[in-house]
Amino acid sequence: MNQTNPSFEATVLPHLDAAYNLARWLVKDEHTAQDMVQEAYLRAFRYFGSFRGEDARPWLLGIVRNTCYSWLQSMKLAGEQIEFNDDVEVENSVESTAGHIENPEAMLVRKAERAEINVAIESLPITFREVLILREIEEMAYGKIAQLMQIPIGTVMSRLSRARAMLRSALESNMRTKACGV
Amino acid sequence: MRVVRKRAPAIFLRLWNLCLELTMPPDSDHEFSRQLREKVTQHKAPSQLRKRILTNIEGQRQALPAGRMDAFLHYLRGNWRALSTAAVCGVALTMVGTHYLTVNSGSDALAQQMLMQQLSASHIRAMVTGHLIDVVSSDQHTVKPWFAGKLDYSPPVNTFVADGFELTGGRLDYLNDRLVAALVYKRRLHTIDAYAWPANETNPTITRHTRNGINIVEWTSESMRYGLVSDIEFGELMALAKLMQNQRLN
Repeated sequence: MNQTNPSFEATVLPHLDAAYNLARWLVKDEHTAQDMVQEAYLRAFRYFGSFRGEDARPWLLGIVRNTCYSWLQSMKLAGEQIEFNDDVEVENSVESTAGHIENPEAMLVRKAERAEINVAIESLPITFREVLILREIEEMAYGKIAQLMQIPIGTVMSRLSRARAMLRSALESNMRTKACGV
Repeated sequence: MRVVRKRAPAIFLRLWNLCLELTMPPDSDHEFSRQLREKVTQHKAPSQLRKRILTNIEGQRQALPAGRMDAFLHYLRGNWRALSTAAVCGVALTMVGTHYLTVNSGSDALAQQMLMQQLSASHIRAMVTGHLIDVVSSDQHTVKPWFAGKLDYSPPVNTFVADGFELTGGRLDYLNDRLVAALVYKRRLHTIDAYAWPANETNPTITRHTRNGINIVEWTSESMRYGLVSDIEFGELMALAKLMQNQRLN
């Protein structure tokens, strides 16, 4: 064993729930998600010698993400990635909603059913879904997400605000359908 | 120049991200985040997943003495010249070995050698070209009849889902100057090709071979020769071999 470095188990295993949650949200199937996490841990174990960071979570989640993407690509499901342009500014950005007591998104989320929100997030394109999960559920810092996804921090922020806008419009149209139906 | 240009953005990106993060106002959309976090399902890893991971890791540790493996990988990683030298030596040794076998040993060993080469080549070719499966089905009762009109023998076809080897289909392949059945199993993300063709000899002892990082186990039972080919570990290939040895008794 390596005496100088902390063990693999102590460093990487505590992030198992985060790894599984990310995989589950990316591949949308519990069995596949388990396979992904198993595979990612094997890879992580093999690459552990090269891990030099102080925070294993973005490192591990990066491996989980790569594993899931390779699988999705091999299943041709990656076709679900729609064309999008990161440069497009979304007016409904973080700043514009600040200052309100309760912004429209928050209100929509509060009113929506749990299942409704899960479905709405699942139907987001993967690029936006993953940012939303990492930021909102895993509560990761923008910088860590940028590091994990190997993209600029500004892109993380713009994707996140687009993810919120998309989630909002999905919930809004849900609400309208419900209102019409009743 | 190209090196600099390639490297610069990575360093620049990290610095830029760091600056942005330091100067950025904290996320002001607290209410949205809080509401969302309350409602979104946070999937928890099943307890058996943790167990399986620990078992896998233990298996990896046993496969190569820990520490020594790390040191070796470290050495290789930092030393591309060593890696390429090793590769060249490996190729040279294989060539010398093949030559030696050709010249000196009996035809059995040569035939065996040729067969292993064909098995690994066939597996790699199928993986690379993406032509893995002619008949896509996890149902053995679909796969078996599919072979009926194409081969002059009937390979045993079973799925072992409960043991983690899922049949995903089959294809025709060509080995030892004849058409053979190749069954395709999935193990996690890995593909296992299971070849089966008629044989005269009987040798139920499972033997292991490795070619170009591809693992092969093979044996003969009940007039049928089997070869399992994959990039997974021997332990897992052996497990499938044992399952397949028992299948004929059913």
